[in-house]
Amino acid sequence: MENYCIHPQRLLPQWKALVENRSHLDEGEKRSAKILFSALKEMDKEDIQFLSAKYYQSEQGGREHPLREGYYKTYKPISDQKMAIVSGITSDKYREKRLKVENRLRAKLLEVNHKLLAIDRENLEVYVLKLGDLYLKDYEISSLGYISKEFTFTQESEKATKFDKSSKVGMELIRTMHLTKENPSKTEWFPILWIDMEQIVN
Amino acid sequence: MELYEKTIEEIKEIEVAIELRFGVDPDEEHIELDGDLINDIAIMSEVFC
Repeated sequence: MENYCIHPQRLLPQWKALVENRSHLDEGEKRSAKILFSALKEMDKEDIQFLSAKYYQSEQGGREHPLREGYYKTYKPISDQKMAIVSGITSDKYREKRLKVENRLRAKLLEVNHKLLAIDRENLEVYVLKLGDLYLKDYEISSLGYISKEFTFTQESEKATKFDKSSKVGMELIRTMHLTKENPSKTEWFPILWIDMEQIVN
Repeated sequence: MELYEKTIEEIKEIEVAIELRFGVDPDEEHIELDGDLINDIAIMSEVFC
């Protein structure tokens, strides 16, 4: 399952640009908008206004939009020094407060990420089933129609059995064995396990 | 009324055909914001979730 960006330092400079380009976002930007605005929505009004003053109110464009002339992909945040002067506190105090607010946003981003991934998993048209780091490769259905208690698992996702969204067997396996849905296109790399045959023989 | 709706539909089809012919992307759905920081966050969250 593809993760969402959960880093405030990467998402907040996109805030204003995501709003300005809201009708022209690509798939990656839509994902950023999805998690950023869902997390911001859960924040206190005071925290939102604090972050907005530094990131959203910035007039200094960063990365230019390659397809929309005069538009940006990011905005440069107003410096801590300037924000400290505006707020009437020292730079150190401002920085300290900013880090606290950004940490609160990070916590919300993590929560929302968890929820969004669960929704994405539910909506998969085709999926494979996972138990820890292992994928369900094979199972048997007895002549009486119940799922046999013997299963084969693999570390290679491409060898896993694929289930359709409407599969009753898939749903039953999730319910009874607590397997989790996973995107079949995801590629994971596992360390190669080396076995010292000499030690085994001796 | 039926003729009016049919005409509008045909105009839309012609617009799309012209846009495709000249390589112009059709306008995406316009997302209307409120102008209030907090409300706009809620609108953006609703649109993209």
